[in-house]
Amino acid sequence: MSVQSMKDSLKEKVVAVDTADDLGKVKHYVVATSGVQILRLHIDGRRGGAQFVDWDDLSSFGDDRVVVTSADAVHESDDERDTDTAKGDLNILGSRVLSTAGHELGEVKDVEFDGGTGTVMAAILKSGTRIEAASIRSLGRYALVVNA
Amino acid sequence: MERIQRGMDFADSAYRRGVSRRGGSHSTQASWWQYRRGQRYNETAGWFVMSNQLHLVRASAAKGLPVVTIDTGEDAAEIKDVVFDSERHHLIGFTLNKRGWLAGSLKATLLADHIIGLGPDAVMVLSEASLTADSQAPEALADTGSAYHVVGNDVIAESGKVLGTVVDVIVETGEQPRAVGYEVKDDGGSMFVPVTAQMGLSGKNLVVPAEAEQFTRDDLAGFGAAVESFRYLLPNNDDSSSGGDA
Repeated sequence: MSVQSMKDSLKEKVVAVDTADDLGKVKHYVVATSGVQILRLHIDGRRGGAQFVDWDDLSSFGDDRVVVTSADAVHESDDERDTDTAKGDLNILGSRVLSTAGHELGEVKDVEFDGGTGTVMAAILKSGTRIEAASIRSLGRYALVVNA
Repeated sequence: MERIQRGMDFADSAYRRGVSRRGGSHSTQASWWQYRRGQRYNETAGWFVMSNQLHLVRASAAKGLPVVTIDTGEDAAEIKDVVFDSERHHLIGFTLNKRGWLAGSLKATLLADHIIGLGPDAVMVLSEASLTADSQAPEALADTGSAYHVVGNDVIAESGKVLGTVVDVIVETGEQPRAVGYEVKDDGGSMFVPVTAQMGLSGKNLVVPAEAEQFTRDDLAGFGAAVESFRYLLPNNDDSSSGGDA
C-alpha cells in the first residue's frame, strides 16, 4: 500500500502511458458522498471546460507523477458532484468537519489515501486531530460528517 | 401549542443590549467563552454545559442553526423557530427556513424525534427524508397559534411568591432534544425552573409545584445537575409526565 497525501499531491503532473503527453495537473479530488473513496481527479480547466480522469483509468499514482492508461481517458463531465468539485464548491481539503452530535470539530488540512485504490484512510484536521476513515459518514458541500 | 418566538426575541435582544442573566452588563468578547470537554463554547450564543452528562441550551440559541444531513453532508435547511407544547411542557420540533441569502420559509418542518444530534453548531438529521412536509406534519407544527403561551407568563410558587417571568425554554441537547426547564427573569436576574407535568398554566401564570421549586437554580450549570437530581427523586415522573418529549 502506498500512502499518499492529498495536500502534497496537488499540482502533481498527470501523464498518459500511450502518448507520454502531459495531460494536466491534479487540481481537485472528486470524492464520493461516502467521503472515503476518490472517484476521479480534476486535472484541467474549470466550470464547463473542466477535464477529469476516473480513478479506474489510472495506471499508477506515484510520488512524482500520476500515470493514466490512455490520453483518451480524459473527459469532461456534467455530473453535479464533478462540476461542484471543479468550481471549488465541494472540496474535502479545507472542508468543515461536523460530528453527528452537531459539534464543529475543525477544518480538514490533509487527507491520507491509498495510492493503489483511491480509498481514503484518514482526514487530518488543522488542529492535528486524525479522523480515521471508519468514522467518516459523508462528504457534502457543507461538511465532512464524522461520528461523534 | 406555541412558538416561542417572543421569548427568543427577548433573549436575543437582551444579550445584544449587553444585559446579563443577573441584570448586569456582560462583554461579548472572549471572556464569555466557556470550556466544555476541551472545546470552547460561546455563552453569548446561549450554549452552556450543566454537568458531565447533561448538555442544556436556551431554545432561542437554536434559531439559525443549519440542519445538516448525515448521509450527504449537505445543509438542507436552517432552524427558523422552535415549536413548544406549553400545555404538556415539551418540545415538538422546529419550523425551517431555506438556506442561503434571501431564502424564505421551507415548506417542511423537523420533529424533535427525527433529530440525531442537536449541538452548538448544527442540528443533525439522517437524511432529507427526516424533514416532514407541511402537509404531513402534526397539527402542532402546522398550526401553532392557538394555545397557551408560556413565554411571558408570570411564574408563581405554590407559596404565592412571584418568582419572575418566563423568558426562554431550556432544552437538553443530544439525541431527541427535549425541554427540561424554563428561564425565569425578575429584577434580580435569572433563575431556572425544571418543567413538570404538575405545573399549572393559564396563559398568564405558571404555577411551580413545591417539589419542583426546590430544584430551582440561579445558574444554568447548577440547573443541569438539579434536573438530574429532580428526575432521580421523582421516579414516577416518566418522560411524558415530567415534561419530557418521548
